Amino acid sequence: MARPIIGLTPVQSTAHGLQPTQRSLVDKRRALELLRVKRSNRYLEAMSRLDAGAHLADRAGIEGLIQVFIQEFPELGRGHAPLGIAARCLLGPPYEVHICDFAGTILEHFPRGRPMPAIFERARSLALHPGYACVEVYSDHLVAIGLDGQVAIIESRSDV
Amino acid sequence: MSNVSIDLSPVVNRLDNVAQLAEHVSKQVEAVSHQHQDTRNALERLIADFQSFVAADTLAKEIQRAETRVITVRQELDKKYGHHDIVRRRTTGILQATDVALVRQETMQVAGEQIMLDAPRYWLAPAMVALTAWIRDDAALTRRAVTEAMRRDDYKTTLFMALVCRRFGRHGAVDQWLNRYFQQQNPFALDREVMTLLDAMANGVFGAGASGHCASVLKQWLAAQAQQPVFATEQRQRWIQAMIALTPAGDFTAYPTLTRHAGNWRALDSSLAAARLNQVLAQHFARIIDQEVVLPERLVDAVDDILQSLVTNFDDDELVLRREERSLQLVIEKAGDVAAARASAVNEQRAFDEKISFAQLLTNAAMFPAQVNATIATQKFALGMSREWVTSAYGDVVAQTRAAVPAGVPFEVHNWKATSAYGEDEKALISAFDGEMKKRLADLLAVIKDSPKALIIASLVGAAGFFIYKPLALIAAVIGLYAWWTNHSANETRRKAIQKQHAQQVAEGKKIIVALCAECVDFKRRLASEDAKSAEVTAILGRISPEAALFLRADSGRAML
Repeated sequence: MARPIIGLTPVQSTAHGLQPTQRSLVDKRRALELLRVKRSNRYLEAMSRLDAGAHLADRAGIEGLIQVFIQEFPELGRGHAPLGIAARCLLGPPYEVHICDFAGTILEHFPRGRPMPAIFERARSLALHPGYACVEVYSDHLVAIGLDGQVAIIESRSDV
Repeated sequence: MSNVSIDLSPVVNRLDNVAQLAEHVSKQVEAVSHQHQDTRNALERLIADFQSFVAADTLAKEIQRAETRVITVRQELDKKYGHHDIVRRRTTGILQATDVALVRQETMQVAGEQIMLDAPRYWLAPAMVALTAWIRDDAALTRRAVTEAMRRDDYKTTLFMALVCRRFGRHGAVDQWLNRYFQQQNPFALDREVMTLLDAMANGVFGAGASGHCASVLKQWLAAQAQQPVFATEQRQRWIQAMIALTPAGDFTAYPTLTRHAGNWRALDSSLAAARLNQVLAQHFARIIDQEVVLPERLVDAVDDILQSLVTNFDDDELVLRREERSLQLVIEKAGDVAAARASAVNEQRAFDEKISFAQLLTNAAMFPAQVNATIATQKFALGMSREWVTSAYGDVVAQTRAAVPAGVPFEVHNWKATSAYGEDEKALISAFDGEMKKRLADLLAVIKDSPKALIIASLVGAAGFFIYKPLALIAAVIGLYAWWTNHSANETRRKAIQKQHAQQVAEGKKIIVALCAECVDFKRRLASEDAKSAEVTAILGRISPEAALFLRADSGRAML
């Protein structure tokens, strides 16, 4: 059973505004190139605090996280923000991975063997790998952020 | 009743005769059939021979036609461009003469001027005048002749002058000519000889100055390509594909239980092979970076070959006729097979016309050096120029490999399905399997029950007999008890058989689970070990230096022809 940390009911509305009409004018290829930029320490720190959950006690907490992304990529804006973040869980067994679903504004921890939502599940192996701080999950690609902020991109097949 | 006997022997005899006749007819039919088959075979042979004859005749006619036509084409070539051949022969002669210093400068001057008169539109004629004027230090004539040659064909003249200057060790001039040559190239569609020239440059064949200056032109090429919005993505993708192409073949023989029982053993095998790529790439890149550069003799030859082909190859004006001549020649070589000749011509032309982008050339040089004949110096240079993309592409390859590692190992033992967390959950799996098997045993045993029918019937018969005839009750009781005992014994035997089979299945299943978990642990350990080698590759890639890529060294020219 997943352990809800924030306790917020997932909402259907796209809290970070991912409606197509609000996407920035940067095209997909350009956005992918921009996303390759090494992440700042500030960004890494914000993502690493996911486990603590203290600053994410409400919807505003996750909105703050989205703002960190927007500040990291002002050219992209929130229209290109990831669907969420998947990362290794430090709570200890049975939990091994958690996701921060930006759309659902929820942080959820998953024990071993319990599948995450499909869009996040494909990031599981990467999130569990000790070489990465976290994985940004997008609809058609994953962005693995190394411990030093270096970026690797995995473009998924369209079947996900 | 009188006995009447009928003699059937005549009928029997007749029947025998008919049978013999039928047999005879059958043999005759068989003989006719054989004759028919023989005739048919002969006819087929004849048809085949005829077809062969027609085919051979067609081929012979094609050869004949090609031989006749090739003579006409050559006559036309000779008539229209015969003087080009003279220019080419004289140019080769002058280069040879210069090598061995056997001809007086005046003779060469006269020959050069004569060539100029013979070939009014050919670029090589003024280039030759420039060469002879340059040899005797006539700067004004050299300048005028070079200008004219460049007006006729800038590209070829530039390359010619660069290569001639290299042969004579005029490195300052080489620098400028080569620089000019590279600037004329389209970085998106490079000519075939660029690879050779790049190789020569990286090895210092053109001298230190040329290598340094040209490197900056090459950087401009990359900068120009980088202006394209999709370039970075394409270039990274190119490197990713090139790296993945070196993935070793899967070798899963060390994991027989996984191969037999894991539902995703192919994915596991692919994951391990992809992780083993780290070692392959570590060796590949380390070899390029650490290997000492030795100038291969063939490289100097290859550069001279370009000069030789520039001097001896045909000019653009001649191409239409030259191509026709080559096509006809191929028909003769292919013994009249027009289709095969056409295919060869297309292949030759494709190889001749083949152009690649500079970015692709760099990837090919670094990743598939044997296929493109890239020397170690060029491999170093290519890596140096591509350091940013190589590193980024490698990061993506590693992440792809890690993302593709299956989350667990699903397996099936005795129709019991489970997924192992790479063997760490061995005890839990065995316990779950045990529980499942105990449940199954209980279910199996539950359906085996001793039937009370015999006892009930015996009791009823015994009760009835008690009132009618008392000994009957005793007999009925004995029969009933016997029937019950028989049923009970049979059930016991079945129970024992089921328990025995179950115990075997449990033992066998546990053995498989233990073996599978052990292999899972071993697999995960090996995967982690291969994955950890990515750090080694990253460290090696960190040692790439574009400056160190250019190994500079001068050399002496090779004798022409």
